[in-house]
Amino acid sequence: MTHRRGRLTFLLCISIVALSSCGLTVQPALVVYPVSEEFGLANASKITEPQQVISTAEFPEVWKAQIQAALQMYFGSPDVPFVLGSGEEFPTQTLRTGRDLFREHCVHCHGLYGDGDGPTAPFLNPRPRDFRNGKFKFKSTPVGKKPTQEDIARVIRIGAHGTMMPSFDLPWEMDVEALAAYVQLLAMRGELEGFLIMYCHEELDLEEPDEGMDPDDVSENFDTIQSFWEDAEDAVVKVGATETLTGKDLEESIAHGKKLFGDTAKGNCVSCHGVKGDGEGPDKDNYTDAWGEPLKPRNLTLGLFRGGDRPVDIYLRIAAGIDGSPMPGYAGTMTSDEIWDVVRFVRHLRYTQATDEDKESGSH
Amino acid sequence: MRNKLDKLWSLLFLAVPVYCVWIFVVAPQYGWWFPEDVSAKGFELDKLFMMILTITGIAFVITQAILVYVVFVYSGRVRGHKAQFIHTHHGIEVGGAVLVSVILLIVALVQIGDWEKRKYWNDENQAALAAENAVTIGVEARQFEWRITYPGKDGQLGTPDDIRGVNKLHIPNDRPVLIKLTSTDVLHSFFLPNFRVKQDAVPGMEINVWFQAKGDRAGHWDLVCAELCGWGHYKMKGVVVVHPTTPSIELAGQAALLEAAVITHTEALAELNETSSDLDSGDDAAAQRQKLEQDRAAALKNLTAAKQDLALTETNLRLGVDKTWETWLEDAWAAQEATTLE
Repeated sequence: MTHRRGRLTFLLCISIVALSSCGLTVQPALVVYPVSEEFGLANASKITEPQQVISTAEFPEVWKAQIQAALQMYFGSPDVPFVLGSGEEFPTQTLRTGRDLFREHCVHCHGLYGDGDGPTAPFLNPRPRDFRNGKFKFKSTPVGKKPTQEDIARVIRIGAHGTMMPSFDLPWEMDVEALAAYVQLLAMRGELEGFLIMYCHEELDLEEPDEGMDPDDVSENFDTIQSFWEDAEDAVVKVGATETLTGKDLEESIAHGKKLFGDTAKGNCVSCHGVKGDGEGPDKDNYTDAWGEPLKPRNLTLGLFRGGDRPVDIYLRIAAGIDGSPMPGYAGTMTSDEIWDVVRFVRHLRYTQATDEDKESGSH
Repeated sequence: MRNKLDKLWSLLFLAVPVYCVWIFVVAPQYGWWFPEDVSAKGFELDKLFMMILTITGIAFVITQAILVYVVFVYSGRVRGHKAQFIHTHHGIEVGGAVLVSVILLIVALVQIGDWEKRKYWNDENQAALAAENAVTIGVEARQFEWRITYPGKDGQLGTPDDIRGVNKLHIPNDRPVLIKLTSTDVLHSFFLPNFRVKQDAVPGMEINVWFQAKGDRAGHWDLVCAELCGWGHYKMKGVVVVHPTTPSIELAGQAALLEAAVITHTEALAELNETSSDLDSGDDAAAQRQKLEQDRAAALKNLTAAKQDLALTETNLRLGVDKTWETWLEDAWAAQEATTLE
């Protein structure tokens, strides 16, 4: 008798476990992109002037539903991504490959919608990039312009040394181009969301919520964003020609670069990056980035260059500036030869500290 | 009846060791054994492994045999008579301890040479360094990638002519390689299965790892992290690229040939598929059908093999396996010092 009771209990337990696990598998489908609770569209700014953030909490449901519907119309859903009317540039298969790769490798930091708020994000410093304002730091185009897809792919390949973004350079296992295309889609989607929130906030009247957005204005916003990205290829900064220097020429160039680095009329790099290039300049605590986080100037003596450490990478950072950060572009202020001198100086910095220490330890 | 059932249980006990031994015997046949050894001295570690496996294997078989024998013979005998329990027996205890110590001591003594060769500056390693035959490469593990530094012409790490890379460890074949292993954050483990190398990377320590690729092998093999180091542990995957001593490998030509082979095999398969629908129901239809199935299986096998070879060759080509290590370093240096956007 006891045996039978035991067996019954066992069966009961098993069925409870089985039933509850069935219940767990039924999850709400991720159908549409949600509307963010708040949205900041500011640029890098002084820390004393906090960036303006628009809260969607007070938006009537009608507007939110409209924004959601517009996002779905132009970009599909996280499961079925597309860019309306750009089937050639964004083939379905490419986006699906990109979507799968993104979910496999990127989602836990950058979040399912590319809002930089995945499960691991709170533990990281710097925070993972939030693609929603369409700003990318390490690219070949000037501040305010979009990156090319090649720029995005390069960051995925080499990683951002000095941050938690590792290199994903196993091209035979992963289609980095497809991933870059998907990242572009997420950025475009996020920017449209931001534009529409901005539009609702500025153009619509809270007293008359039923009026809603004008579809023509929505499509105009979408076209604007699309044209931003289409312009990227033509906006690529022209890199001035130079030669690889050695010996005395190199030393002279480095010395000249150092002078420009400190020249307040020219580079004025020292105001943030400090005289030693260690990021200890007088303005070091004065800025936030476009994502609202306080941003310190880079310590250039560590040899950690987030956008890559080739001379051309550093040239681009100086000439084009770094979008979303207070680092301006110097293409207008300095000639290409002058920029190259600064590049040589900056690349040389990582060895200066070591040699100084060597000298000190040698003298003991 | 009860008695017989007890004997049956002892046979179940016998099945476990028999199954275990059988797995080890057939493992190499099914590819469940070691990955291919492409290192010059990895066989020494394999020998060490085989030695320990033999010792533990013999001990396993003997103890299991005794266990099964005792259970089989004494089960179900004389009810109501308890087994005798010996509390202490100095002879057995000392004997057991001495036996185990001797075995451990033998293992410890045998492995000293291998350990020294891989971790320390023994004479052989020193000589290789002095003769500038050895290559020193810095490997810095971080969450979640391998940052690799090659010394430039001056042979020193940490100077302006260093060549930097990530996740791809390029080495020459037939020359000793000294890895200076460090970690910037947490414990990682530098694991090269095909070179029989596995070494923890410890933050704050620089650990030497010596190994050497076999003289006749060029290609790429896995570099993985063997210490759970965080969420991205799975993606701390790189490759070791072994470059040939002379640039004799015609990878581009090989790839073209393999591409042609893939096309030929695909066509052959398509033709066979068409034939199958044409087969009529004559007398020898069954025999024909059987032959066709065989042909088709063979064609499919050829196609799969050709495709695999092609993928491998293309990857090798992408990694520059057809270049010598020196040429590759020059190219990498040029790419690192790029002053134009391609």
